[in-house]
Amino acid sequence: VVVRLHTSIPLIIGIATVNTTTFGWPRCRRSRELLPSARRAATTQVVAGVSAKHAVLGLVIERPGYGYQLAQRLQERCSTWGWEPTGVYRALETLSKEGSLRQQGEKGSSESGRAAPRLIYRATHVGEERFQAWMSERSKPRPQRQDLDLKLLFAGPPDIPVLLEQIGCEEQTCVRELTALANALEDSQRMRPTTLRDVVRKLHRERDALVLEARVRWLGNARLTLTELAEARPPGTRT
Amino acid sequence: MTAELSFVNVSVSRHDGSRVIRVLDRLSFELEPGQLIAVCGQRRSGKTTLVRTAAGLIPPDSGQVRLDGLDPWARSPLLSRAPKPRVALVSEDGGRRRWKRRRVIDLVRRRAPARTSGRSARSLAMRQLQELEVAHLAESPWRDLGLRERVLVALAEALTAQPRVLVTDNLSLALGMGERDLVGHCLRHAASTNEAAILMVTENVTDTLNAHKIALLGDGKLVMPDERMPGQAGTVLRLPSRERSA
Repeated sequence: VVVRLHTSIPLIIGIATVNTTTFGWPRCRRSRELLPSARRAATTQVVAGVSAKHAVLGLVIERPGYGYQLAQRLQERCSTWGWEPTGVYRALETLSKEGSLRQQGEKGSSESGRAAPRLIYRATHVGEERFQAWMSERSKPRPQRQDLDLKLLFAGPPDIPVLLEQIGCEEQTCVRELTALANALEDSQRMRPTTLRDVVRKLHRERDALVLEARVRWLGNARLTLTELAEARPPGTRT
Repeated sequence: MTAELSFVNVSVSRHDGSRVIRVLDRLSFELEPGQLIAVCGQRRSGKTTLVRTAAGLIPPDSGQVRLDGLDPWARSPLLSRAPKPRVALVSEDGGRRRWKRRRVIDLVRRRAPARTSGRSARSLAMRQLQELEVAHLAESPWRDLGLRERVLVALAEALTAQPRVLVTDNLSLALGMGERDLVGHCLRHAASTNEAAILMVTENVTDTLNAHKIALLGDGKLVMPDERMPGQAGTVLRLPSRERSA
């Protein structure tokens, strides 16, 4: 049974990654407009396409908890990944269906036990094995696809001024995000990290900063090149 | 709140043979007391020119620089009896020293603010050296120090002076990873405790993560987040052309 289980793990994970609950940009139900968080994420999709499933599974393995608690812990751990709390519930549901998690009712949290009962999620043996398999499998780097880059591919000369404006806006957004990244940190946390968790957190912050810097450099270059092009040729002439 | 360091439409040009190259192109920004601003720029983007202009060493071609509430170029600094701005500059190699045999502790100690007694100046200097983890060099002469140590000692000197405006030029060039963190933390700490305005210019974007505000320098221009409209898309920048010849 054990051998069979082991051989089936890559298969299950293969299917699971195809059917991942990748979260689209959260939308307001009424106005169909992008929420501010999504607008922010839409400009720099650092994490597009990575499922929160394994993150949630990892959190449950570390310490069992209920949905809201897990959502909060995910937010604390992966704040820059832009996952919405609703995604956590969806991931919990999928994981429970797969058999990676089991639910356990608990009495209400208040002393009289009258508060709403919560479902506590615990990792099963299968879930832990799947998590280990995910940890040890080789992960593919994902391409970063940005909306603006796609627009550039399909733009004609009359679109260049609008795109230049958008490039300028995105440059500023990147710098603002860099500032936000710097200011998100408490002064007490600035010193040399000692634990593995702190070291990794610092590495992540540096990664985010470098990604933003690369984006800004590329945007600057694109702006200069397109400006030159626009100045060389009168607008409205399509080649 | 009044700004300790302010640039208003500052342009600086450099002569390269017969050509005139505009290194800084109408820069405007303000730095308030207790604020640490990091400017990140690639090589040859005008970082050192910005630092030297901000420290009052290069006169701007046009526009105005105000330092510690004063205009350093209002009159010739040699003739002027007006109070001088309290500015400190730390360059990327720690700068030169006239007395190379002088001990580190003496170099740092003499930078203590005016009217500090000898003993408290020494303890101030020692504390600063300890904070930068170079206290073991206190008795060594300047000429025996390596580049890395010179930079850290120069920073200790600058911080001991408790300037109103502190400008650092690409210090991370000489420093290792751990020291960069340490320097970043010390600068942040100095900004909050001494109420100093600090301009940190660097090549590495990861160094900027200690700053309150971040700007990017490219082509003689600064890209800064627009504060007038927080949370919204920024205003359109004036588009610079590749020709920088004025």
